[in-house]
Amino acid sequence: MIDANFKTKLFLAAARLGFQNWELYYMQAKNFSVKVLNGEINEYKNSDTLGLCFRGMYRGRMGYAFTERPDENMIEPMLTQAIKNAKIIESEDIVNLYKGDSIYPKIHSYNPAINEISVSEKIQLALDMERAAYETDSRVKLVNYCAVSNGESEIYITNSFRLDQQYKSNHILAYLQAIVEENEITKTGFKEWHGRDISDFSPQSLAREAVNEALAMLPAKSLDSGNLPVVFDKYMACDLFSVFARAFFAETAQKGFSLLRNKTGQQIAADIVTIHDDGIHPDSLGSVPFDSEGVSCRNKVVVENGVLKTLLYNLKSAEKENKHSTGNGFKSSFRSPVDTACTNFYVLPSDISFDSLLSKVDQGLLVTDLAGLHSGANPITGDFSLSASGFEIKNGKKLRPVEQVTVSGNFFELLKNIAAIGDDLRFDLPSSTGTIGMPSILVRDLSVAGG
Amino acid sequence: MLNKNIAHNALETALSGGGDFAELFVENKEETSVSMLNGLVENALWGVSYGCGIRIFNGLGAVYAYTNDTSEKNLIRVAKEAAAAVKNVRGGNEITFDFDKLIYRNIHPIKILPGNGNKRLITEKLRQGSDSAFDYSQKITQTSCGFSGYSQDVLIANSDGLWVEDRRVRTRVSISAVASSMNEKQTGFAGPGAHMGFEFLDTLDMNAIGVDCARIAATMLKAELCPGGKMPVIIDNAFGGVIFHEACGHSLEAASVAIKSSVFSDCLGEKIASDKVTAIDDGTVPNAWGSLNIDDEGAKTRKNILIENGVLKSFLIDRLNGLKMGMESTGSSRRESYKYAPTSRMTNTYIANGADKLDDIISDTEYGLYAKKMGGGSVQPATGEFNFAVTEAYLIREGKIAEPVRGATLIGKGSEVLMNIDRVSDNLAHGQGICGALSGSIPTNVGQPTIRVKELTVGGRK
Repeated sequence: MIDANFKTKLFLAAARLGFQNWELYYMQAKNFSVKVLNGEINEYKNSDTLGLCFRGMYRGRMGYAFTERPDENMIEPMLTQAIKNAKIIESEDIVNLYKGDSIYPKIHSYNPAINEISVSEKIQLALDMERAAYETDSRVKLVNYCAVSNGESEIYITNSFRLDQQYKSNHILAYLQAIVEENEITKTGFKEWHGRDISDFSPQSLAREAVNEALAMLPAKSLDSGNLPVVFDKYMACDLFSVFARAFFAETAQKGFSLLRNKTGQQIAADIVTIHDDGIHPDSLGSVPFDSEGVSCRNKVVVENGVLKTLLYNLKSAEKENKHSTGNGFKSSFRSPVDTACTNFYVLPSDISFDSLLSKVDQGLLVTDLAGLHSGANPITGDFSLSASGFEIKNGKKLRPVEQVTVSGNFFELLKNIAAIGDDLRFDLPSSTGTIGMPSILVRDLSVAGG
Repeated sequence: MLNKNIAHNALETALSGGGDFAELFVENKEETSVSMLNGLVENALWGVSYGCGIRIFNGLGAVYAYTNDTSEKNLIRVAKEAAAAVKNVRGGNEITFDFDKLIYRNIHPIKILPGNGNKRLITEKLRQGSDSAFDYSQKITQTSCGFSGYSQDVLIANSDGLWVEDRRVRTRVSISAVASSMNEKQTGFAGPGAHMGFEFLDTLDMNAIGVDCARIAATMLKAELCPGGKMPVIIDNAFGGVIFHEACGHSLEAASVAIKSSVFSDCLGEKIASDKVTAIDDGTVPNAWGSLNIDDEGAKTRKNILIENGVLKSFLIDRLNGLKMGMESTGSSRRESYKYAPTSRMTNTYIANGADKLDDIISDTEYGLYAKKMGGGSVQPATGEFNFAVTEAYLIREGKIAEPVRGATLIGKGSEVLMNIDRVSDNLAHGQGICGALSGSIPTNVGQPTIRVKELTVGGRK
C-alpha cells in the first residue's frame, strides 16, 4: 500500500502550488509466470511493481504526471510538470474529479486460494501440460509456448473530494501453442485458460485441445472465392468484436470516429442481437467495483433486440451530453489519461448449441483463426479484410480444413447479418479496451476470397 | 544509477542458486507526450518510469525478476527469490568478478532532451500539421497529432564484470488525417521519428507532412474496393520495408531460430531469396530511430548482413539464444523496458539498393497492385505466414499507375515472397515503426527501395 506520508506531502504541496483540486491514482501489482520447454524451465518471471499518477486541476485545466519512483524527491518535479502540462491544454472539454458514490458493488475479484498454489505446483502444471501435448500425437513437433502464470493487482484512488476507494483482484492463466508437422506441412494450435479457481483447470485437456486444433488443420487447402455464410467460433467472434468495440464509446462518437454516432434508438443489428456491458458479471475476470474515475460499475443494456440503447460514457463524455457516466471511464494503464473502455461487453448467448449452429449452413466457412486484426480492420469504417483459416462447412457439418482465405466485410453490416447466435458465451482476458465476451455466431453472408 | 557494491552483491546473490550468469538492467526513463485533436491540445503527460530487472541463466533457460524498488535490501530479496528458482544441483557457483567499465563513443549526438523542450513549440508544430491537413481538402473532417519523446538511461552490469551505461533519446511526431463522406472514412498517417532530442522537430516540414496525410485520406476516400486474387505487387520504398520486417526479419530472430520454430532455422548459407535481395540490420546508423550504442545486454550494436544476393548469411542473435545455437551475439538483444527480459530483435532493417529503376518496374508491369503506403502487419514465425494492410494503393494497368483502390491486404508466406522478388530499385528509404514481440514494444526502422514481387495474394473486398 502507498506510504501515507508520501500522500500527505503530495497533497499539501498540490494545495500550496495552486491546484484547485487533485487526485492520486495508485496501482500495485505482483506477477509470476513460468514457461517450460522440453521438460525444463525455459523462462521464469517474477515481478513486483507499483505506479502512481497525479492529476490536478490548475486554472481550470487538468495536468497529469506519473512516477514509478515514489520518493519524496519526486513530488516537486511531478507537480511542476503537471502545471506545465495543464497550461498547454486547449480542449474546452470539462473534466472533473468525482465526488464518489454512496454505494459500491461488492464483487469477488480476489481469491486468496491462488496465493496458496506453490511455485513448484505451477511449474508442475506447465510440465504436465507440455507432456500431455507430446503424448497426444506423434506429429507434435514442438510445444512452442507452454506457460502458467498468475497475477494480482491493487487499485487505489483518492482525491481532494475525499473519494477514497480501493480493490484487489487476481487471476491465474495457462496457455500453450502446439506445432504439428506432417509431410513437411506445419500447423499450429493455441489454447488458453484463465480463471480464479485452479480446480477448473486441466492441463491435459487444454493440451489435447491445442494439439487437436493444429492436427485438424492438416492438410489445409484454400477455398473457392465467393459470398458465403460464415460461422465465427467463440474465440474469433471475440477477436473480431474487440477491434470494433470502441465504436460503442460515446467519446469515440463525439469525436466523430464512430458510425454509431446519433444512432441511439435505431436498429443497428439483427433483432436477435442483444449486447450488455456488465461491469460486475460473475463469470469474467474483467469485473471491478468502480472505474478509473471512481464511478461505480453496473450492468448496462447497450443493444436490445438490435436497437442501440446507449453508448458507454465516462465523466467527460457524459458531461457533454448532460448524462451520467455509465462507469466506463478507464485508464489503459496507471500512467495514462482517463479514456473509455468497456467492462464486460458481450452478446447474450442463445440456447443453440455450436453443432446446431453449423447445421444451419449448407455450404459455408467456419472461421477458427484470424490474422491481421490490427492491420486488416478499420475500427472507424468497420471495414475488415482478414486472413482466415478454419473449415469448410457442407450440409451442416464441418468438412475439410481451409487456410489462406481472406474474409472481408464491414462490421456494421455484419451486425445486421447475424443469422444465429450460439449458447457458448466465453469471456476473453481483460485488455486495455476492456473485456469482450462472445458466443459463436453465424453471419449470413461474407466475402471469402481464396487463392 | 546504482552503487557498484550493491550491484555486485545483488549479482552474487543471484548466482547463489547455481546459475551460470547473472545480469542487472537498471532503467530511469523520463517521458513526455502531447496529443492534439482537431488542432487543440487534449492531453499532455510527463512521467518517470524506473526499475531494475535481474536475469539469471540456468543452462539454456533463464529466470527473470523485476522491481521498482532498487534499495539494497529489496534487490537482494528479489535476487534471492530468483536464485531459488534456479535450483541447480551443483549448488552455488564460485564466480568472482570485478566490474570493468565499457567505454564506447556515442554515435548519436543529442542537443536538447525531449523533456527540456519548450511545450509551446510542440503545440505550434503539431498545429501546423493539423492546419495544413484541414486546408488541403474539405473532405478532411478530423486530425489527430501527437508528440512523444523520452530519455532512457540504462545501466547494465553482469557477472562477467561488464559495467556499461547508455542514454537513448528518441523523439517522434505523428499525424493522422481522416477524410469522410456519408458512409465512408479513410485515414492517412505519418509518424516520423529519430534517435534525436527535441531538435528533431526542427528537421520536420510539418506542412508537407500534414498535406501528405490529407492527400492519402482524400485519395482513398474516393477509391473503389480493391479486387482480390494473385497478382504482381509493387511495394514502394521506405515503410514498404515492413514486408521484409514481418515476412522475413522476425523469422531470422534467434528467439524463433534457436528452438527451430522458424522456417529459416537450418538455412544458413542457403539460398532463401532471389539473387536481387541483400538485406541488412544495422543498429549503428547515426541518430536513426532504431539505433542504439549498445544493445540491452550491453553488447555493441553493429551492421549485420542478413542476406547477401539471396543467400542467408546471419541471424539476429542475443546471448541466451546464442548459447542454444552455439553462436555469438550479434548485438541484437533488445527490450522495451526493465519489465522485459531481452531477446533478439531488429534495429534498422532494410533491403539494400538494387539496380532497377522505379519507372521501369511500373512500365514493365501489365497488371498488378502498386502498394504505395503500407500499414501494419503480423506474422506467424512458425509458418512465415503474414498479413498486412495497404493504406494507399493503386492498380497498375498496361504499365501505368491507374485508379486508387482501398481495403487491400497482402497475404503470403515469407519464404515464398523472398524468392519472388524480381525487381529491386535504387531508391532506398526508411520508415519508423514500433515493433511488438516477446520482449515488448521497441522502436525499429523498416526500409527498402521500391521492389516488385512477381506474384502475391491480394486480399480485397471485390
